[in-house]
Amino acid sequence: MTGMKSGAGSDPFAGAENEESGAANQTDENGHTAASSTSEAVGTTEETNHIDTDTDASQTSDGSFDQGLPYLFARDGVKDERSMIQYFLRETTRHRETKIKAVVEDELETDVYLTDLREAIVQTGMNHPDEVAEQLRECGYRFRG
Amino acid sequence: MLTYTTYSEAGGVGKTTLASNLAHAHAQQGRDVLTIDLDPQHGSLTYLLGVTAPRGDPNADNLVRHLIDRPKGSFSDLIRSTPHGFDHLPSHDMLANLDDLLSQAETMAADLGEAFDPHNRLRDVLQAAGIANHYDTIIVDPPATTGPHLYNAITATRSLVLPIEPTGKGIQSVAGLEDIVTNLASELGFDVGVLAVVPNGIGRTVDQRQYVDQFRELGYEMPVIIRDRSSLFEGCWDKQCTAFEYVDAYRSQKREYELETLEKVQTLGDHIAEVGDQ
Repeated sequence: MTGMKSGAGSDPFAGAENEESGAANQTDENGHTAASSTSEAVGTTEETNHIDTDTDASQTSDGSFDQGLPYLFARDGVKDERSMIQYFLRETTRHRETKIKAVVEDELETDVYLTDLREAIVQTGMNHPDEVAEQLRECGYRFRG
Repeated sequence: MLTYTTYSEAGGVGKTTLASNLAHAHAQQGRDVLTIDLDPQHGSLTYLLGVTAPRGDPNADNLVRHLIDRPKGSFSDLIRSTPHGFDHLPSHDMLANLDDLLSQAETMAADLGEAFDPHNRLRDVLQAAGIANHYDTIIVDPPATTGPHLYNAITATRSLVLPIEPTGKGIQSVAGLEDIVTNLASELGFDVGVLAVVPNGIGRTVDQRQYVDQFRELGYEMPVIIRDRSSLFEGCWDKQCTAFEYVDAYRSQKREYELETLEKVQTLGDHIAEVGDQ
């Protein structure tokens, strides 16, 4: 599934071999061919709302295997099985996200779709609810409840 | 490589004015910029930039001849330098019949057993001319209608900058564009990105401000809001120059709010280059 997303489109003048090998280019963040990193979960709004604590907790875990393939390879596009959720992130969080993306890409030694990265960040948080709570305490929730 | 199309469904929201000013801003950043005018109207980017080209002469070589594979000369000879610090590929009257001409060329190519994708022609032509070796920034300005001009622009650039008017119609036009882009992208198998949505001509009324909030909810980057600068932008058309040049040459007394607008265009140019360059 391709569509209109926030950010850059794929590079129209990337090497011809990229064009032809198409879906093999899973690593390009901006997705040649079928992939799209979409506006889903792209919290481009510059609002300074506090973190939403009630974001969909029922997300299926992402290691899910379809026909024996990891999600990254089983899907046709980065939007597959994902629904769009709007995020409101503070500027500083978004800056950090950019940095973290580079760090993760270094670690994996490949480009990572922003959409994949964001879901992984959410999932990682879900695996560590106590740290999430601590983060919320720091941002002021300790004065509540 | 930074490539994008400026597009709005409605005319008169400053699409072309924005294209010229962003081109100038990118040139100021030290980028090698080429603007491409796909709008057959006489009051198009080519006019605004003061570029003269034989637009009415069907025998003169022009972009459309290259798009339909009937060139009369080399592609690079079509490109004009401008006094604004960037180069320009001018419009031609044949663009008004682009749809028919592409269909005919497609039929002929099919008869000859040649590959011809009418929505991918601009990209083919740019690639064949090795344009990426000469420029690092390409801005395409198509007419404010859907059709082969827009499709070719999107296919060749894959990223969009969307000036948008502060009305319900502005919101609707973005929704309509999402449909077009989704269809086009799945037809051709690539991704289309929105580098920025640019609310343009925002006044101080409460209504207009509410629209800005709605634009924010579209989920695209909105790095600047450009206020109503009719006088400045009309001056650009009058003098056939960019806003930077207009303020510099024709405002003996600098107006603070106009300088602010120029700064915003630069901020927008910086943002676009940062997000879109790849």
